[in-house]
Order: sequence, then structure tokens, then C-alpha cells
Amino acid sequence: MLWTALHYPALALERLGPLDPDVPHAVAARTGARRFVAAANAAAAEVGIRDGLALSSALALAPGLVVIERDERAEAAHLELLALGAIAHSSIVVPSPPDAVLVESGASLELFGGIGAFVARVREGAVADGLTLAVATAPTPAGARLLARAGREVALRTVEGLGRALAPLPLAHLDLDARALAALRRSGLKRIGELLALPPAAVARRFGPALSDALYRLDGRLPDPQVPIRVPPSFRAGADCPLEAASSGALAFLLRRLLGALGGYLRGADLGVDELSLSLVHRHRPPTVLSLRLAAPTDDVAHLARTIGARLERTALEAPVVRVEIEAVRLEPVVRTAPDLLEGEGGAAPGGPPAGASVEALVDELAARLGDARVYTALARDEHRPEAATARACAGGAGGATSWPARPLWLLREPRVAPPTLELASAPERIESGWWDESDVRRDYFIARDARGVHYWVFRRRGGGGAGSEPDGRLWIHGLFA
Amino acid sequence: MAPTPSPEGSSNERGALEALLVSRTDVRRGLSGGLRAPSHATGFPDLDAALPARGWPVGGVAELLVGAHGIGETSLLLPALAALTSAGCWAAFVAPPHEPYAPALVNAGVATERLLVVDAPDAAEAAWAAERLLRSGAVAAVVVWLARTTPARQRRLQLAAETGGAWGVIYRPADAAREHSPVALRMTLEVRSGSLALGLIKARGGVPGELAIAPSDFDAVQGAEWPVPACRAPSRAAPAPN
Repeated sequence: MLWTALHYPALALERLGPLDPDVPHAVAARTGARRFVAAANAAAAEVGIRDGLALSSALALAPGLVVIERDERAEAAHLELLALGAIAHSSIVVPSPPDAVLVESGASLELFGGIGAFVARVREGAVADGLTLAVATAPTPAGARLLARAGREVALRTVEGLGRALAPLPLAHLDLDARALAALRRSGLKRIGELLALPPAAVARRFGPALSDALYRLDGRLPDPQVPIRVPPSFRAGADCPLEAASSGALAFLLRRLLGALGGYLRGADLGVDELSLSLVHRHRPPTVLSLRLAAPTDDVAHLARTIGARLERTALEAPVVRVEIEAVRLEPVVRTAPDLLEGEGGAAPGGPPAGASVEALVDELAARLGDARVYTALARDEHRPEAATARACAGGAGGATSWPARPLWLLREPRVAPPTLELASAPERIESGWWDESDVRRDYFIARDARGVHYWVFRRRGGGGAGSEPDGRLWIHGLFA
Repeated sequence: MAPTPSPEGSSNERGALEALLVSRTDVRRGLSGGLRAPSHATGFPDLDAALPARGWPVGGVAELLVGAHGIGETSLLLPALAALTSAGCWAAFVAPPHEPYAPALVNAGVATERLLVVDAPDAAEAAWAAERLLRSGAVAAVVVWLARTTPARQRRLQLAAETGGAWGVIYRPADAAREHSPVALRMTLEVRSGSLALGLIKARGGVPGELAIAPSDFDAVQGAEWPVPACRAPSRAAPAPN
């Protein structure tokens, strides 16, 4: 097996979305009464704010520092999203809190055309998501994670290579508590390589089994079973807005994260989403819920993002959004003809026809912008009542194959009284719908035309039925032979 | 009447075009070639002969200027739309003036399940939807009704049709004939002496001209009883009974 560790060193900050790069930001954590900086952006680092610095000192260095309280629950939830998204890269994905995701990459390499292409693709996604990422690949999960956390971005296929890469790293990179680390230092050991070179029995005796276990999981001498995240039967995910998002555009970042997770989930489960619900949670107000029905089940995240984006453009938000939730309301299995992992997101040249544009995707896009009811196909129905012989179907519905006597291409939604200048141009066609129908119809239809050559479908009522259908001798225009 | 130009053509342009069409192997006439052909047969031989591409332009927009709806102006498209949708291609009506009536479409042989109908709240949205559909490459024919438009918008639609390899049709009021329009083909439609008179006022790569489509031509292509303008009406003088 080959493991690729995706380490997000700045996740505590970057989960908050794009922050103003000119304003110093810091995440503050707490041990006991002491508050210290757990993460800082570049603007904060510039004035000397480092991880571990007391918060009071940090505030002294940068009085305008924006302090964000550490929220481990939210960070873990965010890591979970990233892990779900990583299912797009591999079927075995293990979240490794607080800031890494392990991906079994050996099986995926053939799909991606080698480790270089695999890493490039992972990195591309992270850049697009505004995430800092360190990637390392090694034969053991612990080894890959350690290398990534140490910033050693290498791809190693053998245990020997891994040993050589680990050897020069300081012991501080081992995930050890302060006491164990101090004991190692007292022994005069400085680098991981020195520790790995000791006889295993001596290591266990001198430093305890916890350390020796951790050490030998690194280089594969001890097995290190991993529990991959299971693809849940349904998908529901949410994320808090760090700063209340007043406009739809500001939500794009969070949506991207959530859709990335959804995309990974759909690929992992071989599902496509048919119906999607998007909740924009406000403070002190019921959430704005947008329901999206898609023309066909899809796992195309770029398409979903476009569809949601078009819908959001039309949605006026009455209050700032504090949280975004996405739920896949209906999921359908999708058949994938070929591994499409190598295709980029979208891949459409600007202005050119989108790659693989489908009518379903178009229907979704149009419906998202114009409204579901505005995009349809006309479905012919075997009905006597003329207005019932056509129905609006969801785009893609199939109609029956019947044939009718002459029928107009346009039907008026409400018949209107014909001007007296029309001349009848055909024999009457008697149309009666039965008493069983609520809108009882007894009419004689004619084709009529006016001086301009416009042809109308007109009728005269023959009485019977409900109110307003008494025979009155008047001609009513019901359609146009366009 | 019906001064139909003969297919052989008389002018030099017609001859040069004919030569060009013959010389190109990717050019097919009419529908048998499918989506990639540069034209779709209209279903009316006289009209095919009069059009520079020998059919509705693929990768181009035809602008049809009509004084009144209900003269057979859309039936003119139905043979081509029927052939396209039956062949598995998609077509779209954007912002039609009224609800498309499925029985009439079925009578004309249109596979309505592949005829997308898009309503739009205003002309700008209609133009947006039409452009999106034309450009997509997923829809073979897009018919849009635009009461108001601008040369810039017309140009965008023409470019979108070229990009997506689609056949576009824009219906506009007759008085728009005076305006400049950067589309491939423009013609006026009106009823004259019971026939549908087509006036080609612009045909990129062809010659302007006039022709008339007789009522019997409509009968021939519809395959169903079709009244436009086939019905022999009582005399004009007779008022509507009752």
C-alpha cells in the first residue's frame, strides 16, 4: 500500500474562508488560563506573531489583530468535509485530526497516471479552494503524515527510502508528549534516524512501549491499521460562516467546500444527486431554503456549483447568513462509463461550448435562473377537452403518439371573445368532454381567419356544464395557427 | 405567382456558391446528413432552393419578420423541427408568444419530448436563454421570439449559433425590417393572396428575392390535415355567422 498524507497546516485559519490578507488574523487557543496564538496569517506573522505566543503579547504587537477563538468541533467538521472531498481521489480516506487527511494512493495511481499527476491534481484542488497544503507519499500512513507535517514533500515508494527521509528530521516531529521528548533529549538523541538505528528492544526498555510502537509504525515494522471513513447512506453537511455573509457572492467559498465534499461523497458512493436542498441559516430568522431539482442525477460538482450560483443570483437574502447547509434530498445510482477523474473541473474554454454540455445540465441552468416552472416540454395527452390535451412536463418527459384533427400551434391560456370580423373557414368540429370531467365542455370548433390572413381556432359554446358555459352565440378564440 | 428561383440559379453568385458547396465534402444538403451539416432542409423545396445554404442555416441565425402571429410563420419551421427532434436532436422554443399546443406539434411530427419550451420574464432574459442554448452545442435548433432587441444582442446570438453549431431563428415584428441586423438570413413573412409570401431581404452568400409557399405545400409536409392556409374559406364579404 502507498499512503499520501494531505496536511493542511493553516486549516484553523483557512476554514474561515478568504480573509483580508492585509489584516492580521490569529486563532487563539487556551490551556488553563493561558491564551495563546494557535495560528496566524501572513500579515500577523510579518509583525512577529508566531504560534504559541501569548495572546496578550500578540495584541501588543498588532493592536488591530482579529482574534478568532479556536473551535475544535468546527475544525473537525471541516476536516471531515475535506476527507469526504478526498474520496474523489481514492476509495480509502482516513481523516487524521486535527489537520491532515490520509489517502491510500497506491490503487489510484494507475487512474491518475503516476504519483506526480496524482499529487498535482490534489494540489490543484487545494489551490482552487484557497488551502495551504503539504503532500507527502510513503509506504506507511504514519510516515506519510510525519513527512507532510514536517513539510518534507516527497513521494517514497519503499520503506528504505522512507527511513532515509525520516533520519535527518528532529525528534520534535514525532507525535510525543513533552515528557517522552525530554527523556529522549536527556539521552543525547536529536534525530529520528538515531532513534531508528537503536535496537528495538533497547528502545522499548529505555523509552517505553508507547514510543517504540509509534516509532515502528513509522517505518512499517509494526502494522498500523487505519479505519477509512465510511460513505454514509445520505449526505448532509453544513458549515458556519466565520463572518456573517451579507451577500450571495460571499457564500461562494463555503458552497465550494460543501460541494467538494458532496462531490467526493457521490463518487465514493457511485451516486448522483437528483434533488438538493440548500439552507441558508440566518440569526433570529427562519432559514432561506432553496430546493433544486436537477434534470438528471449528477455528480458533476462544477455543474452543481453553476446551478446553485445561478439560483443564488436570483435570491434576495433578507438577512446575513451565519451557516450554510446542503442536503442531498434524493440520490440515484449513476453509471460511469469511464473514470473521469482525469478531467479537470469543467474544462470549458471561455466562450466556447462547454465540454460535454448536456441538455440536462442546460435545463438545470435555465431553470435555476428563470424558475422551474418556466422550463418544460409540451406533453400531448389523449384528452377530449382541448385545454387538457396538452400538459407541461418536466423537460425530458415523453408524450404519447396520437394524432388529432387540425390543431393550432398556440393555445391561449384564457379564450377571448373573437372580433366580429372573423370569417369561418372550416366545418365545425364538435368537441364534448364527459360529465365525469369537472369542467364539462360542449363546444363547436371552427377555423376562422381575418383580413391579414391570421388563422384562429375558435369555438362556440353549446351549453351544458358548469357556470359560465351557457350558449351565448359568441365566438371565442382559443388558439392561433401560427 | 411564386417566382421561385430555379435550383440551378442564374446569377454568378449562385454558380460560385454551387461550386463551393460541391467542392466541400463536409457539406451536406438537407437533413440526411444530420447535425453537422451546414443546413437543415426546410421541407419546402422552393424555399430550400432560394436559401444560400439550401436550407435553414446551421451555425447561423435566421431572422423572420412577421406582422401578425397566426399566419403559418412557425409552421414554416415544423418540417425541419420534426426531422431534427425525431432524429434524436433537441430543439427549443424560447419565449413563445403563447403556450405551444402539444397536439399540433405531434400532428406535425415533432417529438415534443425533445422540444424544450423556455418562458422568460422579459426580452433580456429570453435573449440570455437563447444565447445560452445556441452556444451550448447540445441543442440543434433554437427559436426565440424577441419583441425588442439590439444589433449587439443579435450579433451575440449569431456568434452563439456559430460557436454551438446550432440553427437559430428569431421572430421579430415586421417593422424591424428597417433596422440593421447582423444575422445570416433575414426574411419577411406575410399572407398574400392566400399564400405565405416570403421576402428574402438578406441572405449571406445568396441573393435577396421573393417566393411564395402555397397552401398545398403546407398540406404536403404536415402529413396531417392542416388548415394553414389550406382551408378554402367562404368569401371575404361573408361575415361570421351569428
